[in-house]
Amino acid sequence: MKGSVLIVGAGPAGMRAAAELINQGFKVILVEEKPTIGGKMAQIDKMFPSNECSTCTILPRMLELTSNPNMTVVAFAEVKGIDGEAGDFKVKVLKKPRYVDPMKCTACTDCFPVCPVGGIPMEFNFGRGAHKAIYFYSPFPPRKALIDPEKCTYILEGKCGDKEVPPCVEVCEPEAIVFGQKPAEVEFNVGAVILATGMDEMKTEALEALGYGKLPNVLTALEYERLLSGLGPTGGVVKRDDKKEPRSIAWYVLSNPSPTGFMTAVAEAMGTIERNPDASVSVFYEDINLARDDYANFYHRAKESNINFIKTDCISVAEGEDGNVDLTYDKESFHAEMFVLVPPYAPTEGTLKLSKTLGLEVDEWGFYSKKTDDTHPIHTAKEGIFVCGSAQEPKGIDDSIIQACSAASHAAALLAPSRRTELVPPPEKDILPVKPGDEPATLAVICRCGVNIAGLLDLDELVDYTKSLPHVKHVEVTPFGCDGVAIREHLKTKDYNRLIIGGCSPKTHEDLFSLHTEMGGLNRYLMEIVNLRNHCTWVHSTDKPKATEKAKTLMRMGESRAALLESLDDIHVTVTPACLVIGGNPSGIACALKLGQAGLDVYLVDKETDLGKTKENQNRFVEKMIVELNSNDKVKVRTEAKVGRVEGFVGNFRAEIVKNSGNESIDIGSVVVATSGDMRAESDNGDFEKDLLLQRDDKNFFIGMLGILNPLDFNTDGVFKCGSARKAMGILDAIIDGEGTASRVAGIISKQELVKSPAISVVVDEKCDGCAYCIEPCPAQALTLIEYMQKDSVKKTVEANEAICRGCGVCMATCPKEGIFVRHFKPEYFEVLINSVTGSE
Amino acid sequence: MPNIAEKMDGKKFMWDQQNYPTEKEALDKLAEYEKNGFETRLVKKENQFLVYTRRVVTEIVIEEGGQPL
Repeated sequence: MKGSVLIVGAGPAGMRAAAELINQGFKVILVEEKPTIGGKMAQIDKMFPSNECSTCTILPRMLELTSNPNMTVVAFAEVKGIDGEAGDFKVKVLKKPRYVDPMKCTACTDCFPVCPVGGIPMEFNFGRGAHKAIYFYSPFPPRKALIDPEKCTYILEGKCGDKEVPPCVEVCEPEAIVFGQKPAEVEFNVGAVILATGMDEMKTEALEALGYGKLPNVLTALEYERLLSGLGPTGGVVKRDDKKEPRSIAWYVLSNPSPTGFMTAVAEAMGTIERNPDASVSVFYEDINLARDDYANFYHRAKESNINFIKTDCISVAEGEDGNVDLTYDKESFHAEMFVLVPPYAPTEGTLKLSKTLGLEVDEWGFYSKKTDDTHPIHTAKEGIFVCGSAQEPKGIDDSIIQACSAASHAAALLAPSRRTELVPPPEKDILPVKPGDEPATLAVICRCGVNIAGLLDLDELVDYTKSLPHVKHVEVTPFGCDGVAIREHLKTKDYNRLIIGGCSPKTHEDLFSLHTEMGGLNRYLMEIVNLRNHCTWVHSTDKPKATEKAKTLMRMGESRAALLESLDDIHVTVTPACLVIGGNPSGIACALKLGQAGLDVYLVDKETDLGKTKENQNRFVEKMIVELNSNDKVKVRTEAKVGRVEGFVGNFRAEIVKNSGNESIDIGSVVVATSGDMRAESDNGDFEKDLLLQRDDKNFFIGMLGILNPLDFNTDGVFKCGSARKAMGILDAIIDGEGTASRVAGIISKQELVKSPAISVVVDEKCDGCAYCIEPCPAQALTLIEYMQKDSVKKTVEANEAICRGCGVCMATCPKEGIFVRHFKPEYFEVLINSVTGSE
Repeated sequence: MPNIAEKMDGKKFMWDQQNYPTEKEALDKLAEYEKNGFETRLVKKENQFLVYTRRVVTEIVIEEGGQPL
């Protein structure tokens, strides 16, 4: 049995399934038909209903994933066939020629300006914007150039203009251009396959009847997303092709069984109003299918934001003056300067091709969704081949994420005996020893970030200035620092003991830059990120001289802090390989069963006498699961039980299971809450909800972590929620929720130890007098006040639990005596930052 | 000079800042501390006996005036 999984489709579902499986100890091959990964999520501006920026959310995760040694990304490729059986598949993949060797291309972009063939419409932007014959497909990874063989004159005619040697070849220092590249078939031997081929807009005749393809300013919703996107062809300013900024925009949501279409229109209308509060924004729709409370809340917020919602099932369009679109509906008229159509969703071409190639059953629309009661939504007709995300049926991103986690759980359960058999061990670290007091020798890497930084300030001036800063030994300018090439190569010389990266936000890129820093041989805590992009060039994009001055100040601040940084070692916490699942309902049972099938110990606690006798479990899926549960020796079911006190932290909790017959104390590494019902034992047994810092909303559901990519997570590390603990849902959704949560849990308890940041609180006992100001404000409840004896007097101090401290710094802010600080954020670090701005010593 | 704080068995213990030349003296002190509800640890270091203590405060009283801003 193989310990690897091949995933087809690198949208949010495919990427998440990949990340979950790697985290659980499996190797992943991710095949994507486009030249870059990200799927539709990479093309949209903001995600509903949270209104989070899609690019900011997904890009760092893409970069981390593509940097993982256990991940093989095969982009610009398609699956041609799958042979074998569950546990041992042979998958044939056809790699299309890029005419550029991705192993050699450094993304320097030197080839772009010398290419004489330009004006090629950008497919990623649906024809808006233009690129050369050699180009980047999108701003997303893998950031490697490719050549359009239908436009490149050297490929078509054997010469480039009047030159025998194409200029792109002449300027390419790493000699990455390979005109002789041919399609290549490669075979992967894997244990399971997950199909995550996504969805697309359905281009029907109805769109044409509404002016699409005929009138210049009629777009589809996905095309409009590119206009809203900061990385789109208009830089996030909505403009028509005639450069005019539309003041009145209308959406029309065609009849759609999924709520996704209507919510897309709501999100785009909201994005438009955010940019231009005076715009006239109207959404026409045939019907509303909100389906979820959070969708309804988002819609109501939109209604309060000056967006008109008009129900109509009869709308017609005519060409108006000046490129406008005249709409007529229910005997009314509306003059739109831009008209956006939201069609129903269809499977991608890749889904349709693949279903035929693999002989898999699809529904009437072509999705892998099965409308029978007997088939699990994640399963296909072939054992070991699973499906998730919008390839199964159209859905929002958070639902795709949950399905991806569920699919990962299924694959992990199937391949459990082969867990960690194919993992590539992390490369040996050859870290330069750096002691406090060593003279700083600083490497400064300044990232061009395409035009995001280099185009918006005087880079030469900034480089010269940075070279003049104390301790700076070398300044390197790199096209994209996030690819890690410049960082690793220079650090490997061991000439530097500090690193400053002038690039983008640590919020999104710190983990990635840390990885590159350690791969270069420098302790990650000796690296300082200067946010030139978000804090400077993006916010001062119209004033280059001032942006340059501010960038110099930011680099000066970064250098001053970097000089003080100290090497720190990660904290390793051992893990108890077991889980407590609270709630014996469909999601709790599904979660426990998947964990048990994955070979992990689990305690399932329910207050009823018999899991099979509760009404919600009287369903053929659930009944079958209960039978399997009872025969799985990894699952221990505790009925007529509740949960008392829970102490500890991620990887190491201790919980009390309270029964009439007596209490049982269990050690577990993770906790799942699967019900919104009250599972707390009588008060003298403790309150696990309070112990784990869980909160409920006004409908009594548990409130989880913010962020559309974290639907199953609580803010307390190692604690998860699913099913009716999250919201009201049907049985199948509850099962998928539970299985998805099993993947989240397995990512913790299948490991022997967890690695934790050492940037946590440290008590300075010489200064701490135990005033206790810090205790209550600590959001992680990581601080304990202790008394001790000192020369016959009782003194007080504080104990910080390094396993649960999150390094937020609240304690440091409350302490009047400098008696506690967060490593890596010492008070003197802030002092030098301020002094380097004010010029004080 | 011994460390003022030591982590033992996953818990933070504080040195009582006294040197006990014999084990018996240290054990006597230890017993006295334990009688007052302290957890204790005895550490032998370079011919000295060191006593470490801790006692978790369950009822926290903030000094008058409340937290500083």
